Amino acid sequence: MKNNIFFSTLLLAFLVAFANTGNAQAPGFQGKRFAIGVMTSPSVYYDQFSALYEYYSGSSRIKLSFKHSLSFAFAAGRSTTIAANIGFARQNYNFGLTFDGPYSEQYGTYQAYYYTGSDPLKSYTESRIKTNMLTLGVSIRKYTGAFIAPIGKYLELGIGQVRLNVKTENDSLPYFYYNYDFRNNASLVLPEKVFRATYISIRSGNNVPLKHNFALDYSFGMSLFFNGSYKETYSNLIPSQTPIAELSYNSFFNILGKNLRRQNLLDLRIGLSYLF
Amino acid sequence: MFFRIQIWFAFFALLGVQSGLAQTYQPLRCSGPIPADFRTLSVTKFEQDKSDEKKAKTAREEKNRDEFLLNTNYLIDDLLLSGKVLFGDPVTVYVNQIADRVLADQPELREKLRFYCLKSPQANAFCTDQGIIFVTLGLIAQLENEAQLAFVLSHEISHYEKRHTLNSYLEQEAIFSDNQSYKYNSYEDRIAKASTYSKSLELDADSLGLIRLSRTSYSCEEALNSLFVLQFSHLPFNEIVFKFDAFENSLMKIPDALQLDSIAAIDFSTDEEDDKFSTHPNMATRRKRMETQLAALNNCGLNKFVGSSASFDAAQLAAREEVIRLQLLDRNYVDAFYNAYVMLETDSQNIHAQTFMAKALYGMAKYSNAGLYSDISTSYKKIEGESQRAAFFFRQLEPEQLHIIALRFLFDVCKQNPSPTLMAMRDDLCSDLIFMQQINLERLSEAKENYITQEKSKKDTLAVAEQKNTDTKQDDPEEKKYVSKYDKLRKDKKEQEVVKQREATKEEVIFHLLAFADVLDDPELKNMFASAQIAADMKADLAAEKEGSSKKMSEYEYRKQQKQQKKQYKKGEAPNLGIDSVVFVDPFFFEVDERKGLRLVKSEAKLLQFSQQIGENASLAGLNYQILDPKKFAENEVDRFNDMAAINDWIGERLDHEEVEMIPLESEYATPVAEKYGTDHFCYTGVFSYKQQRENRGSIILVSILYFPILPFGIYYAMSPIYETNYYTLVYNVKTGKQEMSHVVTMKSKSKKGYLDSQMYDVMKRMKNKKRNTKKK
Repeated sequence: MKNNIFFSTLLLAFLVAFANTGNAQAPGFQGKRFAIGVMTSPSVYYDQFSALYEYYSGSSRIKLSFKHSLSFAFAAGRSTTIAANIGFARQNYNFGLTFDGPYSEQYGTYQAYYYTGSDPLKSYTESRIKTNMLTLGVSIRKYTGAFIAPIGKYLELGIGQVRLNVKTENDSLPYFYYNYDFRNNASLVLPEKVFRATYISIRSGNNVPLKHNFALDYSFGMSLFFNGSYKETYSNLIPSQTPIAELSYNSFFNILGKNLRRQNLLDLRIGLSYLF
Repeated sequence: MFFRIQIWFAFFALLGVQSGLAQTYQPLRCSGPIPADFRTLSVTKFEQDKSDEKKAKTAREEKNRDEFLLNTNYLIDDLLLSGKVLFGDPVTVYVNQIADRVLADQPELREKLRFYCLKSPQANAFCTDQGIIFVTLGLIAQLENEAQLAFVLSHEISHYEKRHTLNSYLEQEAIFSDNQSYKYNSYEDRIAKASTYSKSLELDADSLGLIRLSRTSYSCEEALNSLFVLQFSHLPFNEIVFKFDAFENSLMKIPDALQLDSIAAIDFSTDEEDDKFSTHPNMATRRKRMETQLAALNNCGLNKFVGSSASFDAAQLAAREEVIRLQLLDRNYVDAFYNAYVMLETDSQNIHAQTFMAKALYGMAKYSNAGLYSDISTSYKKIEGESQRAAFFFRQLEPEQLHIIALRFLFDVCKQNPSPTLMAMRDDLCSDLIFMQQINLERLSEAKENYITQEKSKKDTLAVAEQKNTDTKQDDPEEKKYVSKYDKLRKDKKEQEVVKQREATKEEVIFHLLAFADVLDDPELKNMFASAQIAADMKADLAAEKEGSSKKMSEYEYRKQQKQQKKQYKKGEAPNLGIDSVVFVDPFFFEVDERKGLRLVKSEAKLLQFSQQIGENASLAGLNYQILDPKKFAENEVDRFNDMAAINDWIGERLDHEEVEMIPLESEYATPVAEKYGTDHFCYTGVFSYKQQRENRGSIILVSILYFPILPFGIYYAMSPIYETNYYTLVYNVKTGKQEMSHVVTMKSKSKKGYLDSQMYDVMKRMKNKKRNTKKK
């Protein structure tokens, strides 16, 4: 249902764009109306899984990630382009967890949790979460100030979907849950690892022509995510009371969602396009 | 030997003039190889001049000097490449011959100097620090003899020798610099100081010029006379009583009310005018100094002419004709008309003079019809001398009267010189007469008949009335003895009736309708009116259609149309023209930085690139093109240089006729160029870019500080300058005289090559694209 809404919105956006630009003459850049480009947008994020961060050494809290994307644009009007883009990003979160309960060899030697030492009833585990993000979107660019698409300063409105693939290193966290708490309810332990969300974005940028039909594209943008599926899934599945002292699954994915929003709220994108 | 060459020159010059008289006037054209002055880049000249200079005393002086060299080189090159400077033409060749004579004893100095004529109707000469001396055609047109020209050249040579231009600049910089402010009480003091310095240089040049002249066989007395010439050079070529014969015929007479009884006397008091803030001393001072100096010079020559006076006359005739053309170009129609009138008085067969007069009348009639006569005329009260009569006459004429008088004049001139342009002007006026004034041949014939009838009845009425009066007086001798009050009143009443009748018959006669009274049976006139009727009908249809469509349009549709037009303008869309070939003339590129001033070196480099871009984009758009770029002419491309000058003049004139739909007078000279290049379309294109600091930078940063997260952006925004690049394209059709494209795009960015390429391609594609059918029937 959600996918249907998403694709209907995309289709509507394209129809509106074509309806507005179909009759206008599109000279392009010296007759070149298509552009294919590779972009990257660096972003800084803060590792939010820091409740027990002090126990995990060897990593910085401030992290840099790059979202790489590939775009294809078509000058549909004199000052309008329609673009489709696909983006990739990878982010890692390190965290440690303290939980109630003593360390015991009986749960397997490969598990990363261990006894903290100070309190016989407290144990600790650390893990790394890897997220692979894939975005798919379409956008309409309006070239402002008499610039002719696809060259010059522009404003871009976009809509798309993000797909976040979450992996926990060694599956230690779910395994821990399985062994420790939910041994009788295995279906709840392994989380659904793919999350989806829809976003809309607005950007302001500039396509500066270089030599040999290449153009430098830089822009500054803002994205708003909504309709995230991660929160819903886990708030329903994970009981609010867990034996984990510091972090529940629920709050874990909420934090992940927050991170996603914060990171993409404002971003700077730079890339190279080839016009043809 | 030298004398013989002069005779040959005079002979050929006269031959040229004589043979040219039978045909259309041809403007002065450059000839021979293009001199290096025109072909060398300004930046190269600047670097060369800079390296030739010795080290200045202070760093500030050196900076000022470099600035001067840079600015003058670019400024002079702008002038040289504008098409307004002549080389190799008969007048410039003549000026160079005189310069040879003046500098016969200084061959080294002669080699350094270059003399060119400047196409300007003003009488002036000036020299540059680079060794170029410009003499205007207006000056040649006014001088009385060769010796006077020799003195003017001697004066300018002295300026060059003493580097007065540079010294004057440095002095001014020093006077107006801030660190000198303590020396002066006010800005006026500074101007007065600069003026005093400039005047001292002028007197110095006069003195040195006179000494140089005394070394030749020219009469030094003529130096004094040349000052007199300069003083009154604003007056026409001669002072001749302006008569109205040319407009009159057996039936039509110009009414007395249109003729000025007395003219304003020429003001000779300008001799001693206040020169406190002038660059030149007043004439009295100069003359006085010169007279003193002359008294001390013993061995002065006596010749007004060293060469033949025929050479001078030929050069002057050429200069005078060109000056009239330039006055027409400047829309100074009354002066052009009067000067041509003066020439015609000297030579009644001068077809060029008649053509100039006809063109001037055409221009005046068109502006008068458009209600814009004041755009092309100054108040006749400000004019001195005989030309005031002409100015008064044309000013007093109603548009309809001026229109018909101009048409009659053109009709006569076209009979002698049926050039296509003149014929087109004649036909244009004739169709306008029918369309705008509703005057056709029938009405003219009717007016003639009415006039004849009225004249007859007037005579009869007057005769009867006067007879009655006489009878009353003669037949009743008794009444002479006793005249009652009522008899007197009766008599007065009768007399008043006679006067009223006289005035009534006067009012009924509209004199200008008789302009064609003597040629109404001429088949050529009938043909002219017949074809004009068709053109007038077309004009009427077009106007009706326009009016009809606007009337039919509802308010909503009108608003929609306005909105669309606004949108198109906002988008920067140019109209489609559907043309295959175009000639780009004199491309322009200029960058200005608010802080650093004119970016001359950068602008020239970008201009060269811009010219190349024109070619690239025109090719991509599929246009056949040629570029007349003065910066890129080779030594042997003098014809292209002349072509560029002709088109520059045409477009310059066309731009002036912004609000008047008329055939540019220069069409006669531009049409052959269009034929040569195989296109009627000529394009002016260029870029003007400027950079300025953002205003209220402090406030922006302050606001950013208050909203802390946006501070980096605020600082970036406040500190980044504002760029604006304007790219313009004007396309004209020389054949129709129409402006087919007037397109300006303003980009808020630097003048980057890619951005310009994008715009240029779009505009050129629009030139190429066929016109859209705006109306579906």
